[in-house]
Amino acid sequence: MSTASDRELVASFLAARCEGSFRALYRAHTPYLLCLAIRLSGGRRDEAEEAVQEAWIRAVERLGGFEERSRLRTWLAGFVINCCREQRRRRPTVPAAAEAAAAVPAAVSASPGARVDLERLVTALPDGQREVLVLHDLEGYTHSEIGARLGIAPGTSKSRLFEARGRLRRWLDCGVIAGERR
Amino acid sequence: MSDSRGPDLPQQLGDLPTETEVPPDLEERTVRRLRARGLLAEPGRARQHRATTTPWWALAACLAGALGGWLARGYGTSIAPHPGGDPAGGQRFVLLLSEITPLETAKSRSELVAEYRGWAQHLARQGRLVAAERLIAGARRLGRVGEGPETGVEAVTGLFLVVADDWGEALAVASSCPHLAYGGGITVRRAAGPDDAED
Repeated sequence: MSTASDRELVASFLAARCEGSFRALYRAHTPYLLCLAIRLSGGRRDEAEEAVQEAWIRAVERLGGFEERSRLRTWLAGFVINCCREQRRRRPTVPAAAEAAAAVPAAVSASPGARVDLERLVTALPDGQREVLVLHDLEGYTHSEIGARLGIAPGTSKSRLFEARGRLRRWLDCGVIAGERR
Repeated sequence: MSDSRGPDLPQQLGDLPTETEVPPDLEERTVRRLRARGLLAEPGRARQHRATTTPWWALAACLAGALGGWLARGYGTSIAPHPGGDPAGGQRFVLLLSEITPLETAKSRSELVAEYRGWAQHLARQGRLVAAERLIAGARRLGRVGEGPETGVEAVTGLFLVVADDWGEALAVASSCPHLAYGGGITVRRAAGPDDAED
């Protein structure tokens, strides 16, 4: 969606807060936002949908202050990232070792050349690694931006990305197919 | 799906889709939540401004007339079964206004009408007001119901159907109604939503 279209839709919505304008904005951006939320929440679709709803509410509350310094989509993604992080914090705490064990995909030996569902492997990564990998390798954030967004040092972001890629490569090399989570 | 022997990992990741299919009900759920918070105009409200008799103004006029008649009547003794749950509204609450004794005020009828109407209009602007009805006297009774005008449900003279996030918010809305300040009573009931079990 072009910035001009976004601008028009935002202006139209703010003028009357009419439902039609909101639905147009929603339909233009939600396929992307939900995709991002599903990845960030580790494939937990219900959490992702809740995060997207909450993100839209926060975005609409603040839409009048959107300054167009970034693309609307990027601005909206910021709300989704925050909402997903908040949901993650609300989840029952799982000991690190248990989380690591749970994050190992169900190992299914695949024949050479078997196709592997990379998407599902990404969702199977531990939360911290997955967040950084998604934001860096799929969303194009820099380590500084990730650090600021997630409240971690840029160095931590780099090391998590390194670990995440390493883990994915090992799974891919083994022909591991991600099992269902949850 | 990606081939494990394909391109480098960052490239494979970059090739993953950036969008996903959105379940149709998610849009409706989001819109409902926005409406409940007063962040969206009620459907048709923009149209109403342009119409000769818009729903918004019709509602205001209806409220003015209804509340005027209602207050003029003083003791309304009516009973009107309310449909209760509205499948379109997850968190709808019915505010049943009752008057066991005359309202305790020296204000004129027009002053009271203006005050009630202002309160209702404020709710409407927030996107909280779904409907407002005056319940007329002359109930038809079926089954086992109370007879005297003093019993709770018999004393109900008007109702407001409002949207709220939860009980706390619904009670806050009810508490803001001027009816309480004049000795009137308000009973709040939550309308059944789609997730509520059958009784």
